[in-house]
Amino acid sequence: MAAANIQAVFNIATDVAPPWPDPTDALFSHRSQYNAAKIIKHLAADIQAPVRCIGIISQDISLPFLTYVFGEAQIGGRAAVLSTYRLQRHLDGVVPEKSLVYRRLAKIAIHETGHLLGLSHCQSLRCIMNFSVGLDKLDSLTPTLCDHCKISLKPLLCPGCESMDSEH
Amino acid sequence: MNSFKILIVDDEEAMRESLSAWLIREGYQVTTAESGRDGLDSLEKNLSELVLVDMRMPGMDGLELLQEIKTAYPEVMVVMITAYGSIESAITAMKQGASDYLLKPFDPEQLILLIEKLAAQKALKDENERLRSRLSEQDEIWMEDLLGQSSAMRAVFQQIEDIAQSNTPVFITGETGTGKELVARAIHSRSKRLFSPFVAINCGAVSQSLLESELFGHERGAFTGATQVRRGRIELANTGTLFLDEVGEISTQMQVNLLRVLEKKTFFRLGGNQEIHSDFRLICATHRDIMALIESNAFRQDFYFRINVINIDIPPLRDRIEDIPLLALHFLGKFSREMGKCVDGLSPEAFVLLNNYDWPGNVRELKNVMERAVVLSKERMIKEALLTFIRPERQSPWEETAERPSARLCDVEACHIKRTLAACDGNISRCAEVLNIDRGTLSRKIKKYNIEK
Repeated sequence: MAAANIQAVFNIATDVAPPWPDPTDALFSHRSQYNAAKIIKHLAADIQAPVRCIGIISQDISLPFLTYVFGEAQIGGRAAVLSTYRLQRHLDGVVPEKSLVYRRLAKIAIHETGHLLGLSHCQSLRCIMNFSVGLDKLDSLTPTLCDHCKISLKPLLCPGCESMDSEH
Repeated sequence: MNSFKILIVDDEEAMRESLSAWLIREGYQVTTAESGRDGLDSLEKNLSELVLVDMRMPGMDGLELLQEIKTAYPEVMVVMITAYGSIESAITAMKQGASDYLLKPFDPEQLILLIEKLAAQKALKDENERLRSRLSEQDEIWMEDLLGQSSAMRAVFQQIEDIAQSNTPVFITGETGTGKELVARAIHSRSKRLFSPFVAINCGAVSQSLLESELFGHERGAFTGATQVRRGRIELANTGTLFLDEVGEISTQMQVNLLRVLEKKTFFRLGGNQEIHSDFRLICATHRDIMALIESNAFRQDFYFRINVINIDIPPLRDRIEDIPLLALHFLGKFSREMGKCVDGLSPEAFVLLNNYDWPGNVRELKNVMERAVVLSKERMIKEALLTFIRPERQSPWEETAERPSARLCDVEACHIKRTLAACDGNISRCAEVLNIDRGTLSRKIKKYNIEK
């Protein structure tokens, strides 16, 4: 689901890797959450450029200073991680349908891939790179990039393409 | 990329890395430091608008760093990051000038909202400072024409300083072109009402019915054409200064209405039934002889007493000749700069001409004369020939009085007797004949008007 959406939005080849072992050493000692930054370091260690890797975990993830994150990636980094834990939580007591959870997962995957490809958060409320605070906000976003982010992405995906375009 | 710069000071590398990555993704410019000392060095090299400080650090702790930052860079905002259980130190930090604090771990939205709030506060503060400096620049532009080294003008400046801080009504008198509005603005800009509006209206420039609507405002449908509610100048001057120029032109009926406003500080818009309060300082000005207007019942005495609590009389330019060279050179420099011309002086003859002229249009006329001279000048020095005046020659005060449209009959009579007597070589009998009045009557009038024979 995540791979298909990433391929559709960014037009880059994707593949699904076999499951990874549980990152037990990334578990915070004082709370039942995994440290997203540590997971990313693990994932990135085994990846060779230009491949980028996105880990999907069913457990709750966070950062040392935050209470939770849906996903985490560094701008221009090699690896990202996202969690389905909070995506399937009940909103106003209503159990979300599977399809809604998948849509949320796809949106987070596209958002974190955007960061891996060099995009920052976007001010446009309709862009998937807009910072999602809470599930309500996430549900209101469409899984597409705004024109500004598309233009910013082009030289990031293919450095030198711009100059080639202008030469021809 | 957002121009808002953030410095993170934390001894834990993981914390620095993940927090900075998080904020970089938000578009902020982020730098990090692993100790309080490094943080101060970093601020010295590249000043940040906001510093996120971990409370517990080895060596210089968060509170010490906060004190150092607030001493060296009071404008830099500091947010303390602390763990649960050390809330007391967070409160201490707030008392010592921290903008806010965050308890670890915090919700992502809490961090972003806090930084957005602080960035907005900073932007607002910057905007406020920009506006203040623009306001003071404007004030300087206004004030620069109010110059003088004569004792009369020094007394006016002193009076402005003395009364500016009070709320007492001020009545400015002086001939046209002496700078009555400049004095009014100077009072406003030195008062506590400086950052509130200075609302000016020339009462002689609008008809009385329009003046009423201008001053009091009107409700929708108050009269034909009043399609929407409009706030009047009195309402607009709330917390500021209301300047009524040419107050002598206000009708007696309007003076009654204004008297009520001045006493109660409340009024009704035209066609309105809701009482509106306005707290303003009143400054009035006129070039007319207000006592003569009171004598002729054209101006109400009770209104006059209400507005004339402090009187500032601006002397005409001809009575402060020593200010003429100063003002002339000031305007010369000002217009040369504005027009990009290289004119930097006046010939001695030109100075003599300026000093001998009687300046009926006062400083405004001098300003216009100098502007015209700079426009026409082809040399660095302005010569006599380039100075053209409203009135070519100095006239006697008598003649001036007689020619003034608002001259009193007694002044005209005295002037006419003086001229005729001079034409008759001081012979009273011949003069009485020419004037076709009795010799005794003429003698009495000569005595009455104190005319030299």
